Amino acid sequence: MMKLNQLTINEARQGLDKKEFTSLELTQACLKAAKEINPKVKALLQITDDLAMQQAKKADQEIKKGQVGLFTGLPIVLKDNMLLKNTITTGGSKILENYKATYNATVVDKLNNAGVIFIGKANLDEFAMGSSTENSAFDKTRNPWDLDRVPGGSSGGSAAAVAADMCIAALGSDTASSIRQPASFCGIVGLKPTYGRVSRYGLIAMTSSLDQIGPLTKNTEDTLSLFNLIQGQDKKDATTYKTKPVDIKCLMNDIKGVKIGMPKEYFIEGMDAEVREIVKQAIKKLEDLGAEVTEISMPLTKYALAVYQIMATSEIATNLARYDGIRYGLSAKEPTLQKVYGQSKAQGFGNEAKRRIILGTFALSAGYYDQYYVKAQKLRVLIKKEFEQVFKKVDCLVTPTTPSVAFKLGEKYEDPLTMYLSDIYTVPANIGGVCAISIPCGFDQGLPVGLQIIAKPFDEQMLFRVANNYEQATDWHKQKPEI
Amino acid sequence: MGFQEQDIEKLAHLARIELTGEEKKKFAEQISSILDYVKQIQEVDTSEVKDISHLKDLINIWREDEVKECQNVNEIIDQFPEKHGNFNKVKPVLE
Repeated sequence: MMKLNQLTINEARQGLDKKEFTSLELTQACLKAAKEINPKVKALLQITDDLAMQQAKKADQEIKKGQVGLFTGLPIVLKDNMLLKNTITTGGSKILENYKATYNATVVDKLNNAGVIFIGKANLDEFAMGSSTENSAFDKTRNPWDLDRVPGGSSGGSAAAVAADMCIAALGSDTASSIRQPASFCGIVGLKPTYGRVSRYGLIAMTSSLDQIGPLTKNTEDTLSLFNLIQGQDKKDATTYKTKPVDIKCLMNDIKGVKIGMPKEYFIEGMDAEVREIVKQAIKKLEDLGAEVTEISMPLTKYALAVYQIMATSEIATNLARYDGIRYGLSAKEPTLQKVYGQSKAQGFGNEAKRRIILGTFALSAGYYDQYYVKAQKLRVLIKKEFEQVFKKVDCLVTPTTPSVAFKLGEKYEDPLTMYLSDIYTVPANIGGVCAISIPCGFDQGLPVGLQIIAKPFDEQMLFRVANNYEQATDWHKQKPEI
Repeated sequence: MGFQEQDIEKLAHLARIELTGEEKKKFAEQISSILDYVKQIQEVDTSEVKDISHLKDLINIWREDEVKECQNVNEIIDQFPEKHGNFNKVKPVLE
């Protein structure tokens, strides 16, 4: 018998509509699971019981009145870099340890309006900078499949909360890998939408030109549903586009004749041989289902991570300058203004934040700006063009999400470059501004492996269609960790 | 590119952040190795790229410039590390 907290969005909706259980019961099941498992997994920085219970009671009243949408009464977890008014929102940083959000992020408003229940705020690498959630100032989240391993990052808390069934679904944010890599490591589905499709208003900024909010869920259909809820133009975010929700019927279409490209640069030496084999089998499966797979080449792929390093650190140095101890956040008690700035940042920021501020300040400094920042921006244009060219020939690309399965805590922590390399297959999608999804496609030594599907900008329906066809033919996404 | 501690010191000053001696030493090494990796971008010919703006197809989102009441004044003021009435109190900017 399935427990209530293990349900998917659709299963939970059906159960609520048929009055098999109430939203309060569903919420309590998630809160109970969260309280039992969180001390081990440390996925949530905060469990918002009071708010959740209050929202669940309200949802049950609405359900009684028959005023329901797909999400009425469903428990969701938010990554702790999304503002939820009057709730502590830390961004995983000590500098915001006591910061109470003064307004709602647009995605939070949309979830609220849809009648969602907020179960808690999920752990993350400080300001979403990292690939293991070890950079959080508060806790190191564990992978539910193996507590000695990382859940990935930076949305590691969101991914672990979904994999451990502390909630029905979660939101994360993805700048280089931060939804897809943890989804892959935790054996769930994660989507990085096209840049500009989901509002960033109220998302604590890391790399503004790359950051995107997206869903982490138990299957593809759930990802589609949550994506449809949060997508669309927002007057408060000038980088959003006027877009329509994806038609759920795309899931019904088979993939006969769909042209899939397999970029050879994503199957390079140095990646785990077993992961490569599992991903190749998954691609074979897509072929069996009728897709036409061809090997293609994207020679600029190998530069994406270097471009990212310059772009991200430059924008981080700029974005983090606001945490100066003046208007909110940690403020060092010092006699002069300069000392307040210097010490607030010294005491409030962790290692990764400091390192990126310094590197970004360098990339933007006089004498180096053209050589690094401008050069990286030019390469970004070329990488975008390379995607455009490829998508004239194929409908989507398939690749491994990561070069290896989840690594051990501490394994890469002291070596930033090695840590950055775990993003090597996910970062090109951010640089190219395209959309990409990671879905479970097997296990290597008991640890989940992810298949990444990449499609052209605003073609999320292609991702959902291919992913759902694969999912219907396999049962990897139904596997649950024993915690 | 070999970074020295004094290079890090200078950048830290530009970013208005204080670093310990140990941090400066560690960052000098780590940033040198990251830049060694990053320097590969120089090998790509980018001379054909003239315009580096991204999202060229984006159209401005306009709204009327209306005066609206701010709903969260008190919450914002509550966050001030130091205040004087409703004012945010800071150390002297000009000595």
